[in-house]
Amino acid sequence: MAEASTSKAGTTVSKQRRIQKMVARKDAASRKSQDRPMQTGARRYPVPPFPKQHYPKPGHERVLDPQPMYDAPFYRGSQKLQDKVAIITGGDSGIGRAVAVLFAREGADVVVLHLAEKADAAVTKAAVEGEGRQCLVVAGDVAKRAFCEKAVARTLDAFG
Amino acid sequence: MNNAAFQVHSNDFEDLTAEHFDMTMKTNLYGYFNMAKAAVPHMRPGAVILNTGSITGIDGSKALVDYSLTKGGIHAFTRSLAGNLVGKGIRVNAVAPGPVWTSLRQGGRGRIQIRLKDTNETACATRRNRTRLRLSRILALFKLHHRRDPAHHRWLLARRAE
Repeated sequence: MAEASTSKAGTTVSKQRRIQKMVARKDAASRKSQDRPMQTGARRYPVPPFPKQHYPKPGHERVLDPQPMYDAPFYRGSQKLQDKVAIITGGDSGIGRAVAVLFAREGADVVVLHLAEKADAAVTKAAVEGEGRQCLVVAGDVAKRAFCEKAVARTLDAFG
Repeated sequence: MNNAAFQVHSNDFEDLTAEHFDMTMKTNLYGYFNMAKAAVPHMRPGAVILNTGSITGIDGSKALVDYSLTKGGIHAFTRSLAGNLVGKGIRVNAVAPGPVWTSLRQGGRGRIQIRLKDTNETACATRRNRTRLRLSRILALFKLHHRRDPAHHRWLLARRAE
């Protein structure tokens, strides 16, 4: 009687080990994919590590690798900002450019203020116009009060 | 929308020069203040000021002492100005993104850092914001963002109150 129960226990233990091994194998196989950020967008987004790079200020977007994505091709506007006017400082690139394009898609005209990144600002302007809205570009330093006053005056002239 | 910023990291606090500190303050704080001062006299009820904050302004960031200081300042500026301008019907909000792949950052560090946390937190904060549009809210976005995401939150904050 005692012998039979020992061998039954042995069977259970070996069953448990089999289950354990199977799970361990699965874990090892899936560990790599668990370390990656999830992809839940309508398209694949780049995943770090990105190449090391260091560029001189003021920061030009066109030299970045990978190129930042700002076009949001799957996002459809619905006139949430219809005929509004948005001044965006640092609107030439980065978050500012993405905002400029999506504000335009929602129906706003955009004024892009930038320090010295002419080529980036031109890309943003073209993208805003591609959304069917107007884009005014003004270059200068927001740390200077006189420039900010001038930028608002030019906005009022153009869209006021 | 106040967004223009200056950011250069200094790993050693002793490397953060007075000139560097001054440049960060002037661009990130004076820049926001100057634009608000210039724009507010012309803004009508329903108009919006939207400031770009940062997760560094909430958590701090050891190599961005000056930058995170300005971002924390921007968060307080946002809440204070929101209270101040609410009588004029002008809303003031901020979005506080985590790391975003832009030329601002690439002037600084080579590699982007990932923070992966539950984004539901963001969704909840956004919903609250939509029902309390008059109050300034700081949205802390804790995920590695590609730029479309902060932009998406911005239209939520900029559009007409419904």
